[in-house]
Amino acid sequence: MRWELSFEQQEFHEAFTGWLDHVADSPSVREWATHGGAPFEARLAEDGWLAAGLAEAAGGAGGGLVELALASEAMGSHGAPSAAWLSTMAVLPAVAGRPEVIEGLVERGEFVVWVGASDRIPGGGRALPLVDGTVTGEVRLVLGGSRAARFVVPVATGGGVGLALVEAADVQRGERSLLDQTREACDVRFDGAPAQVLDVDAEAILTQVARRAAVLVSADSLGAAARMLDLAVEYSKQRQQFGVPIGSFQAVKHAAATILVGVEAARSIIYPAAAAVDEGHEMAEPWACAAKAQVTKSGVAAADSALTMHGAIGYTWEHDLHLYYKRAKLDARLFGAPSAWNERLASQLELTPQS
Amino acid sequence: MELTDSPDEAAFRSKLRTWLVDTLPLLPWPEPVTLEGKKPFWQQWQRLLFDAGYAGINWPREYGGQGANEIIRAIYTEELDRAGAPERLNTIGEDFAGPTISQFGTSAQKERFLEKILRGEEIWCQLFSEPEAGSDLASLRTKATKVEGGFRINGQKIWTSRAHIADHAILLARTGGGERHRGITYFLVPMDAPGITVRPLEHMLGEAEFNEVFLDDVFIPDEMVVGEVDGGWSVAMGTLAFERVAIATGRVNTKRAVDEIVADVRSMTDDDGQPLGRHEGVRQQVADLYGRALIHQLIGQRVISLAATDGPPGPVTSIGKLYFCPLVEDLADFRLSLEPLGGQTGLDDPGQVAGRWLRLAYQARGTAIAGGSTFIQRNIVAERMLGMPRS
Repeated sequence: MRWELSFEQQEFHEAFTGWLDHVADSPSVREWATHGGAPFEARLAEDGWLAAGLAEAAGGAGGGLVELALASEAMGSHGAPSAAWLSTMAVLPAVAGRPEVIEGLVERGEFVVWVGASDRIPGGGRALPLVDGTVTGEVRLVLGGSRAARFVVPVATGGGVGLALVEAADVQRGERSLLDQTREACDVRFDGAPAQVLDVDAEAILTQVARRAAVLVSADSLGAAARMLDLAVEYSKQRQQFGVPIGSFQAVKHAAATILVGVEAARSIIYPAAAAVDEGHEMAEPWACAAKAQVTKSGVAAADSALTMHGAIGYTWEHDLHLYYKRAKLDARLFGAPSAWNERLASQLELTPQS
Repeated sequence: MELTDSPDEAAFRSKLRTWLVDTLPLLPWPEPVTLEGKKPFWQQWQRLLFDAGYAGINWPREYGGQGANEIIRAIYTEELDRAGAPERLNTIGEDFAGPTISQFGTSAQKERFLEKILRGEEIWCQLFSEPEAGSDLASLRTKATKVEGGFRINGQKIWTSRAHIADHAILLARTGGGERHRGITYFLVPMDAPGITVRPLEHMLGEAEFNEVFLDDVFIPDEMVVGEVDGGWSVAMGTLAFERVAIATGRVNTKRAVDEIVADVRSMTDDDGQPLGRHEGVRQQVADLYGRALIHQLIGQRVISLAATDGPPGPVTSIGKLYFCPLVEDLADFRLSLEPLGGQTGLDDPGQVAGRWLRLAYQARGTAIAGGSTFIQRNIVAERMLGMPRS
């Protein structure tokens, strides 16, 4: 194999990171954290970024999950409000055959959000009963739900699980607060909402959605960890104690080096995993599981270590660290905790004798 | 990301795989256990590799190598590993001394040494570390005094793996041209030279793996200096650069180790006769180790891909060892935890199936210290990669 981002992928990453440096600076991120990320999402659509990672044939700008993972890493490293974007990019294969839905997304920023409790691996939860073309039921903590124009809902049909599209206008939403203010979630209630069943192989799509969610959340965690490392290292060079910068103390160096090990390990698996998921490669499933379990776990450790490196200033509201700290902690729980993804991996390893 | 072999790579892999299936049975298996016993076994194997054009896979063609890039070399290593080829006894010769001689050596040195490494005729060891110069290599004290036609070497080296079966050594000694790294010269030394005494050191498990080497008025002719007199440090840094890729990709195939653990767990039962693989804790630990082994494999692929483009080593090359060492410890410790008394019933206990895992567990602790301990590695990563101030 050859572990290498293409020239186009590197260019895309640079362009998107440059755009975020400009649009999502610290004061803006704090403003959106207080008043909601709608202005950011509008810019994302206006400046054409919602076409990225979408095949040209489907009305996108080309690229695939590798590009989306690069974008997710950059969003994580900037603390950008990405809840609806992340959910939409994960669930994209479900609506790939609906040009009007894709057009709404790319042209008008109409997000298509996955309806599942955001702490569960997509596909693992309960499907809503489908009766006479309508769905009824409530799903708690839907990531990006309040910013959705449409929802993709798992429905129980006579023949098993299917996927259906529901317009946001036909549901009730109850805001929920998240400790990580850079993302948002809501409870979604369906009360006989009209549902158009999607003509797709639901089981195959759900597998894809789960893997895509794993890769994209891992990439977000990588971005947050890399940013916290930057902040901590920068601070360790400035802050003087005992007459020297604290970064000259070996305890501080070892903490920083350990975070870097996690960051580079994360990068090493996320991008091959993204490519494997797109290509349907045999390693898609184990790499996606390992990425979500390992990367988001080390992201949490990085957060705590970076906090200690900062000392008291890192514990304040005023300092930006807490934005990334909470982001990393939420990433570990989003779409399945590390233990859930480890169990998913264990079940493929067939650890009990086969009868 | 290219997840699959290119046509050339696939062709190389399949040809090599067929050759291994045909050739490995020619060896007088089983592979001996002791290093002394392994030497003739390995030499027979190395000769087969050489005759088939599989020796020195990434060495330049002009010195008898195959001139392949790091990706082909990685495929080569994968396939030998997969087929269960004999342990590589001459890593110092093939990976460090040989490439150093081909880059910095004189044509006479190349003529004299390179082909014999590829043919498996001469094993090499590395006389760098000293009792007072471990992590701080530049503080070494072994002295080389200029005499008619060469140098007289006096001093002591330590932690020298395979010195007792080696034919030649690469050696660093102080020639006095300056302080610390400025006064060091790089020599090639025959291990049977008068004045060299090799004394085996037993490691924690009571087995001889490395040695102390005493140099008492050893004469080395001028022709055996590599690079400039007093200019040995830059040659040594060249050697360590060759070592870096090897260290980052790891010396233990962690994926194979975890596959073995999975197979073992599948057939084991708990005290009640129930499948061990049903236990939540066991499932979590196995999956966690499996995920880490997958990441370790991909770190290796990333390092190799970087080396194949001749780009400068990036941060991922420096963190390889730091990711790898605790993983090997945890793999071995977990497997031992499934044995009675955690596998601590002694290496030769008749009921002991885990002697190999016990050796691996202890070896892993050694690896964390060898070639710059993980503590020193973290300092280096923090200073060179993150630009943190020196202590």
